[in-house]
Amino acid sequence: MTQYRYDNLSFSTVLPNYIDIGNTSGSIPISGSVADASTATFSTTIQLSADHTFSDIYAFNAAVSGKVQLVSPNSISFVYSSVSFEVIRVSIVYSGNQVTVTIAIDNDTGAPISLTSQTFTIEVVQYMLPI
Amino acid sequence: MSQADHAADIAFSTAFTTDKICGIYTDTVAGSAMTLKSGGGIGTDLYQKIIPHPFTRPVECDTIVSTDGGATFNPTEALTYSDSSNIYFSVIDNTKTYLYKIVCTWIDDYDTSNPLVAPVLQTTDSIYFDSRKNYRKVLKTGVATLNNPGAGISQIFPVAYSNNGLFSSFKVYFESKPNEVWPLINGGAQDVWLNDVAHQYEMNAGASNSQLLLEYIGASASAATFRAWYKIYYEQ
Repeated sequence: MTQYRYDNLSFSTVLPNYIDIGNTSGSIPISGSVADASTATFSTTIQLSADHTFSDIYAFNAAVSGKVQLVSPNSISFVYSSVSFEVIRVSIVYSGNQVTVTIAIDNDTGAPISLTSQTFTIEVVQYMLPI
Repeated sequence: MSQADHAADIAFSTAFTTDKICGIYTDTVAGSAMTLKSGGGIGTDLYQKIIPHPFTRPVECDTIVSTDGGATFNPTEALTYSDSSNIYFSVIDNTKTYLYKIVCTWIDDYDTSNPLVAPVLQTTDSIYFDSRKNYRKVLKTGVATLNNPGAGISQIFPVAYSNNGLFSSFKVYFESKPNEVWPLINGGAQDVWLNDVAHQYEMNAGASNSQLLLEYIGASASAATFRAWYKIYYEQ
């Protein structure tokens, strides 16, 4: 097997590289009220271009002018516009060539809350290996 | 007009940097056969398949994983980090069987060793390049050396970039513990990947259309400094 000094290596046609297979997206509008000690959920299911791809998933919120990579349940709090001390969680489930992103908002503030209306654009950046 | 203004429309150009993939590991492993890495009663118990690698320093690891033999894939079922000797494929449920593919990407100038290494590709397919494909192109890459902000205290490190006003996608890896390179983990008490609560840094990453923002949180006995490596891609 050929050896390389990767620090010196630029592009190589004899080594694999990630191939862009396109972005796809969906949206999750957030609005309404949440009773105390309750959870509100909002979700979107996004069709992927192929099964078994690598993908990075981002949430974009124009209201706060930023996007965040969704890597753990509370990642999305980075771009969520809160109204009180509610807790926001996100989950990601892949099934075949679909991915479902669900946002859950827990209200344990001791009183009902009216959520700040906002829309998350969920962007899926898909890529794959040629092997 | 420069190539950079239309990077996303260009299938291939040697003018653009790509990810340097040095290892691909694919296998099936039963959770019951994995090694317990105890969370000490506070952190999460991880079950790991420890895979020796020849790269002599840590690499960045992407993982896709299936728990139903390949019918569906769910990347949130597993996490992979590495050190100079091993790749640690990690899960929290040892009752399942995992089919995984781990892709290891080189970290430029991790140290001054510049080692001579052979890639581990575990495939007989010799065709890796097709000029008709649109390869992921790196707009900006770099390393940030960050100081411990204190236990439970978060700080933000901004990285400026310019992508014609577009929001770029990105990848970030960091030294959650000394000499270990992890993908992003965060969430504090809700962070299922926090195994060593006293020592591990957590990191979150977000972006505007001009800055990548690295938000990091220290633990009670975290190292004084740690590094984070970022790659910002040309947006399609």
